[in-house]
Amino acid sequence: MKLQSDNYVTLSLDKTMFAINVSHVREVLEYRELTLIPKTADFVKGVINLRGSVVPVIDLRMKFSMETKPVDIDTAIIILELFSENTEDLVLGVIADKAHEVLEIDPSQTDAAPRLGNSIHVDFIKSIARKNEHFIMILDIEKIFLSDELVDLSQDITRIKDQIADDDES
Amino acid sequence: MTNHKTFYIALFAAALPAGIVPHIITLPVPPLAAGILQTLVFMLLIFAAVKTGTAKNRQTARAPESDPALPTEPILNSLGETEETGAQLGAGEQDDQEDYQSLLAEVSSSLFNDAKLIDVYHHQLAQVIQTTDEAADTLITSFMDINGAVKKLNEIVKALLHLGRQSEDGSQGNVLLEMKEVVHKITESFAMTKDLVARNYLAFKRYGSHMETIQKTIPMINEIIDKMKVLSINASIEAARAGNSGHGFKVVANEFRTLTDKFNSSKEIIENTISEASVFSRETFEASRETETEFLGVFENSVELLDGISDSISRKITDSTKKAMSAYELSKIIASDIQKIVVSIQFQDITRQRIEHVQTPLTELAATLNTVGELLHTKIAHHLEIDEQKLEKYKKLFSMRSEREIFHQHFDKTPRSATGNQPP
Repeated sequence: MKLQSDNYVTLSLDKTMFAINVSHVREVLEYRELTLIPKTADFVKGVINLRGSVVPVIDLRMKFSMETKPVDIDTAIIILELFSENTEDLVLGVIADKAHEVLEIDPSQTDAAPRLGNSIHVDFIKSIARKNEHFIMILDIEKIFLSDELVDLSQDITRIKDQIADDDES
Repeated sequence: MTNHKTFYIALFAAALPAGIVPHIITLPVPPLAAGILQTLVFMLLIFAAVKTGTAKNRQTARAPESDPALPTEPILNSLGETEETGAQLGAGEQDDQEDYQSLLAEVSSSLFNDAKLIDVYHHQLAQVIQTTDEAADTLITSFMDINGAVKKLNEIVKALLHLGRQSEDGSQGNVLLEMKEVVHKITESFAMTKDLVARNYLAFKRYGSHMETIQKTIPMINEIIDKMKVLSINASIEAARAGNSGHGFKVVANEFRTLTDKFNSSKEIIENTISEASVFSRETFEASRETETEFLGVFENSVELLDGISDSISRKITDSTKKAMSAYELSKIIASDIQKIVVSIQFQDITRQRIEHVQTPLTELAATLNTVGELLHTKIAHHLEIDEQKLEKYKKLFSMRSEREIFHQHFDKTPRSATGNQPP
C-alpha cells in the first residue's frame, strides 16, 4: 500500500474530467493496437506488450457504462499499478479519451462525491475537486475493480503468459 | 490539376509586386483594384500554407510507431536529432517542435535541480554513515574495555580469595593489610567500570541521534521521488500527445521512469534498513540507559560498602573484635548488588550478545565475593574463637598472675621472715 500524494493525473471521458492519484500511475502511452483475447470480461479490450510484459487494457467507458467512442489522435492508455491483498500487484492500462496533465489538488479543495445525480457509480468516485471552474472527479481506483475481477484478470494474464511461453518453445 | 496549377501561378504572380515581374503577366484591371486583389490573394496563400503545414503535422503525430522498443540514446542526442529534423519540417511543425523543446528544457532543468538535491542527500548520507561507523567502533571498544575491566576485577577478587586462604594459615597482620589493599583496588576497578558504562551510554546516545538524522532524510527522498514521478508522467503525457514528434519527451519520460523506479527501490531498502537500525538503536539506547542508571546506583552502594569493608578490616587489624563481622554482612550485600547488575544485564536483550563477556565475569565475581564473604566469616569466627581462647588464656594467666602475686606477696613475706634469721 503506497502513500497517496496530492498529485493527480487528469484524463477525460466525453466532457467529464477525471483524476487518478499518481501513486497508481506508472506512465501514459499513446494509443496502440491491442491484441484481443478471448474469454475475458467485456471491459477488457485486449492486451499490449509493454517492454516484454503483458498488460491488460481496460475500457473505462465500458466500465462506467458510457457509450463507446472511436479511437482518435488524443486517445491514450494510462498504465496503472494496483495493489491488492488477494492477488499480486497488478499492472493494467485504462483507455482515456485524452490524458491532460499532472495536477496538484489540495485535499481542502475536494468534497465528497454526491450520492444523487451522478451518471457514474458513486463508489468509483472518491471525491470531487474544483479547479479553474471545472469539476474533476477523483477516481477511487481500488474500488473500480472488484476483487473477483482482479483475481480473474490476474488469472487471464497468467494464462496468456503461459500461452506465449508455449508458443516460444514450439 | 493543370488548371489548378495555372490558377495558383496566376494568383501568385498577381500577388507579387507589379514592379518586380511586370513582364510575366499583365491583368486588365485598374491599379487600385489590382492592389486590393493582390493583398487578398496573398492573405489567402498564407492561410493555405499554414493549413497545409498543420494538417501535415497532425498526420505525423498520428502515424503509428514502427519500432515498439523505446529509444535509449541520451537526452541531449535526441534533442540534437529533433533540431536537425526540425529544419526539414513545415512552419507549424517547427512551432510545435519549439514548444516541445522548451518544455523539454524545463523538464531537464527540473531534473538537473533534482540531481543536485540527490547529490546533497548522498553527501549527507555518506557523512551520517561515517559517523555511525565511528559510533559503532566506539561502542565495540567500550564493550571490550568493560570486559577487560571486569576481568581485572575478577582477578583482584581471586587475589583477595587467595589472601583469605593465606590468612587461615597465620600471619594475619600482613594478610589483612594486603586484603585492605585489594579492597581498595576493587573500588578503583568499580570506578573505572562506571566510567566505561557511562561512555558506552554516551556512544549509544550519539548512535541514536545519528539514526534520527538519517530518518529525517526519508521525507526528503520521498519528496524527490514524488517530484521525479510527476515529471516522468508529465513527460509521458507530452510524448503520447505529440506522437512521433515527441521523440525527445519519450526518451525523457522513459529515462525518468527508470530512474524513479531505481531510486524508489533503493529508497525502500534504505528505509527498511534505517527503520530496523532505529528500532535497534532505540532499544539499545534504552537498555544502555537503564544499565547505566542501575550500575550507578549499585556502584555508589558498592563503593560505600567496600569502604565499610576496608574500615572494618582496618579496625580488625587494630582490634580483633566482633565488629569485623560486619565485613561479611557487607560483602554479602555487595554480592547481592552485583547479582542485581547481572540480572539487569540479562534483561537487556539487545545488548545481551555484546555484554555476554561482561556477564560471565560479573557472575563469577558475585560468586567469588560470596565465597570471600564466607571465608571472612569463617576467618572472623576463627579469630573470635582464638580471641576467646586467648581471653580464657589471659583470664587464666591473669588468674595465675593474681595468684602468683598473692603468692609472691605472701611468699615474699613468709620466706623472708622464715629464712632471714634476722631479729624480729
